[in-house]
Amino acid sequence: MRFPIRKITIHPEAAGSSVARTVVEKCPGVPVVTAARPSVDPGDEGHSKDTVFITPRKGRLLKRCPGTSSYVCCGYRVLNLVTGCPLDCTYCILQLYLNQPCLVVHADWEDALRELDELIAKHPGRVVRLGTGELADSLALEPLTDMARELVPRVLRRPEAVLELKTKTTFVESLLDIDPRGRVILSWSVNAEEVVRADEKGAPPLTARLRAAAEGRRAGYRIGLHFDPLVRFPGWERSYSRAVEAIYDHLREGDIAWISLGSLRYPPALDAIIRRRFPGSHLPLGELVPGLDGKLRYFRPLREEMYRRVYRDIRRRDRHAEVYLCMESPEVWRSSLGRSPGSTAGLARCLDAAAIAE
Amino acid sequence: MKRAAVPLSRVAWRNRRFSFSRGGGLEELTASIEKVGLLDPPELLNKGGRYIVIRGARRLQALRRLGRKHVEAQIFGEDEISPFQAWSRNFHENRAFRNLNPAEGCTALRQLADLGLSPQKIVSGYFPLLGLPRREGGFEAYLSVAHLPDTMLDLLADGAITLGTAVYLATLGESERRSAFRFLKKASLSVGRQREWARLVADISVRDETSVPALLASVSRAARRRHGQFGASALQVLRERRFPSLAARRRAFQRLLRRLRLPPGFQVTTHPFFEKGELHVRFSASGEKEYGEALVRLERLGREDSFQLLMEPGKRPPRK
Ligand code: SF4
Repeated sequence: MRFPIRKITIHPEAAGSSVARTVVEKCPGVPVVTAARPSVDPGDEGHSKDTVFITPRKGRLLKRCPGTSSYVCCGYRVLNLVTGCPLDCTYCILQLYLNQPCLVVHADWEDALRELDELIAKHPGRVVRLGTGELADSLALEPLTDMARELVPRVLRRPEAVLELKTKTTFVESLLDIDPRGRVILSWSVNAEEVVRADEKGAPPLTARLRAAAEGRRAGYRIGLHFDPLVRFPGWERSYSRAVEAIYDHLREGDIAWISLGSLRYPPALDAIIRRRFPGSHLPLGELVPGLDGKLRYFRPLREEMYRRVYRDIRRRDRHAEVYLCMESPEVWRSSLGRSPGSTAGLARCLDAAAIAE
Repeated sequence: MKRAAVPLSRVAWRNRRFSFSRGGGLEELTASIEKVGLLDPPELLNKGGRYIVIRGARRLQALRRLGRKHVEAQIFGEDEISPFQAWSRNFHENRAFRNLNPAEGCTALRQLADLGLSPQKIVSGYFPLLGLPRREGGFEAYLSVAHLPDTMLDLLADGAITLGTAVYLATLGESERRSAFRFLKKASLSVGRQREWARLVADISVRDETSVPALLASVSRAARRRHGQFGASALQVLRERRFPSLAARRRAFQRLLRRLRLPPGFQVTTHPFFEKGELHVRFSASGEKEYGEALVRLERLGREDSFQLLMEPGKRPPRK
């Protein structure tokens, strides 16, 4: 199973790359063009999701997670091997960030490992947590590219590195025969079924994701879960309680390295895009107000209420998983979880410890 | 084409196939025709003895105002000019002298569509000339604006409502549109505020599954109970309904402030959306003595329960 691809464009400089060969091999019958630009109609937003463009990278591939100083961030490093996503979530920030109207695969992605080595050399003895899910879903193109399968063993050769692959898909098959040695975390973005159905177009239902997580766990991977974005809708309390129940129907306490909670938030410019592309969506109708970083987010007491409630549900089932808030201030941490890591560095230390805890 | 005197009673006033002029007072034009006469004869299309205006709709209206019975005009037969040529004559003449207002732009767009031009051709070839901003779904939105009743198009032409508001009004059903329009006229909101109004009304009615007339009726009732200008009060009521928790928190904050009875010259503010549990206290003092006294007051203030509550925006402050 994979998302449908209707066109492949390969940049002349990427023509001989192994990823280009793999993609072409895995898409028999799909037209392949060699060109310096992908031929898609930039106005046709839907079409871009079935066009792959394989190209050499522009700029660095390994970056800091773009958190803002106003809120506590997880201190993650992001590897941008792919940009764009075949799924179509209403709230997806990529609608705003990406100017390449298709799925872009960076052919020379292995250069990122050199950047990783430089980083490790600069901070000897430190854990480096990295992930590929910032400008893409980490596994959505895996059935086409095998990139995660190629990446995992290479990362494992570097004892300081911990890799998190974040996805909404069930595409874990290519990874199941690799021994992750406790240093690869397969993570799922999870949500209430109502949100999955209404606002995560193309993504599998929650239970399918959790079945894939259980499979990953059986293969030795540690699991991360991200309740992000938490969305308010009539009955959200019970729906999120049910989602937490579903998690522990599939996974046991101790299987989960961390669970993050993040509420719906997006830059104001995305509001118009959501209203235009998803005219029936209720997301923009929430009580969203500008936060300290200028992004729209639920009015603070409403966010705190959601965090408290979901945290309570999680703690009833699991006393061990590291639960953290994504992009929140120490004040919100304290009033929601009763504690605060104080800063990005503090949270990064907690997550580093959780990453190597098994 | 021939020149002839045509009775004004034979002009098909309602037929706006080619003319789109709207807005701007007719007074100046009427006065000038009265003084110096009609310098540039209008152009009409003879359709079986009825005359459709090609160019000069405003001049014809001015003549009618002056009580004239006839007009000296250039007359085209149906076999002399195609509908598109007729439209182009009027359009390019207008464009040579001025920019179209949004009501005219939308009407001209509708005329092009009626003439059979494809939406793609209109968007790529005419949008900038029509003075319409490019936007997603713009073609359909502007087309629906062109079908708004004349009264609304006149307001759009005169800048009393914005193109965005007109687009919003065009999305409503007949009765919703009428009530929205009545409300807008009564509220006489500035152009900038209409945008906010339209967004608030649209969001609340969808979120609460309320019809626009029902929502506006209840907002009107609430606004009338408040002091001040109706439009400003109504907008405030809408904001509070759209952001009820924030509004409740702001009211509570004000209540606490009142309870604190701040000394004269003291001002306490916080983050406008209570995102930070931070208070900003400002006071003024002239001279060392006054400054010292203010600090003592500030210290006393800091010990009050109400003051502590102001710093914890997540907590529900107690009602007295
Ligand atoms: S899965 Fe992630 S990257 Fe893909 S559309 Fe959804 S939010 Fe965007």
